[in-house]
Amino acid sequence: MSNRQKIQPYWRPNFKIKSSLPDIKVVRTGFIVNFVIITFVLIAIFSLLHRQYYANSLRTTIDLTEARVRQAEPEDRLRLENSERFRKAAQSIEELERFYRAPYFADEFLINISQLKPEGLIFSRLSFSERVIEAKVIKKKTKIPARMTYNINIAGEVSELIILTEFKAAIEASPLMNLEGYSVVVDESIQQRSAETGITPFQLRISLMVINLEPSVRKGGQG
Amino acid sequence: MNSVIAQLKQHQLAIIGVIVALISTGLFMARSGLIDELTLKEAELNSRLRIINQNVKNSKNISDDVATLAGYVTEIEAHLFASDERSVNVDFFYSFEDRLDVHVSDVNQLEISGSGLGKDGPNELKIYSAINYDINVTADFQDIVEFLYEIHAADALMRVAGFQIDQAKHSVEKLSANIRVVVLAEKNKN
Repeated sequence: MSNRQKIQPYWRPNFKIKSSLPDIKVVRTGFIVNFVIITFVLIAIFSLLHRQYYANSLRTTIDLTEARVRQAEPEDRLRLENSERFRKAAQSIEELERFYRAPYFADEFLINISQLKPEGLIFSRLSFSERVIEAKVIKKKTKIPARMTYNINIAGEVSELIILTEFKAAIEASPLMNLEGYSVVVDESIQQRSAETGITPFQLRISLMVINLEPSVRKGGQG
Repeated sequence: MNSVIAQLKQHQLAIIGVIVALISTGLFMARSGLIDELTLKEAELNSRLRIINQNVKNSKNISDDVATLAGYVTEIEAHLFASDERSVNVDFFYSFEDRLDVHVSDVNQLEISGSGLGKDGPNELKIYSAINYDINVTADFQDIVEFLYEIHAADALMRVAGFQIDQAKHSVEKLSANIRVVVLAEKNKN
């Protein structure tokens, strides 16, 4: 008996067929699998429905917007036609403004300069001219546009040089030389004084150069 | 095989769920292109509507403005010189002699312009053109000033683009003025 007890193995076979045994876990595997899959299915269905709903609401919005655009388009076309008419008419007005662009009217300039002329100074020649400075390209990138320059030349005679100095100062201080959008350079030269009369011939050169560019007129719509 | 079928039978709900989920996901993916397309279309329409609304705002009173500007343009065009009517144009300047105490000795219609109104000039004219006149006038200072004023005040659209005033050769009292006048004219058709 003691020998038989000795051959008794230390292990015993497990005859349980696990798959046929009832699931006795607190939460059954089947429940977890079903729960996960149903959750996934619900998410998928919800996403699909949400997308479908979003697509439908987009279609509704598009239909409404299309209707609004269709309704507004005839009037918009009229507005654009008017805008085009406005643009063309404005071009004519702009051209007229460009045509008259100059620092002074000639008669106003003459009156102003004659008012500045002091006693003891005589004009022998007075000239005003305008010239175009051609457009220039610097380093292939920067383009200086063509600009106008206006030259005034006053030649005359003066009995005393101090009178010329005063005349030049008066010109420089006058509104004629302080125009917005112009740079002004006043240059004087005097010739030899006459030994007999004491009169000194002089020349004043005034140069006005346009420094700013005009803003353009815009009104109307876009197509 | 039998055990797999047994397993499948055991999880029928899960299998149906997986099939439904797969179909839903497939449809979801298939419709993603449609949403993009609709969103794009909606953005385009909104942009078009925004432009229309902006146009409404920008074109406030535009009909009145167009009518006003059209009136100005008609007025401008009524006062333009015709470059081919040389004799009429030149006579216009000689006619100042009747009104002012000036002697107009010479009027030349010039082809070239130095007033920046030509092509690529800073004041380039595109709708209209300009005609240049070189006018020699003899008068006293007061009358020269008046002549220059009359040039600006004339019905025709013109301005003095330059002048040179010297003592007249044969008179102590009179001055001689060489005046460059530029006149707005119809665009040359050729």
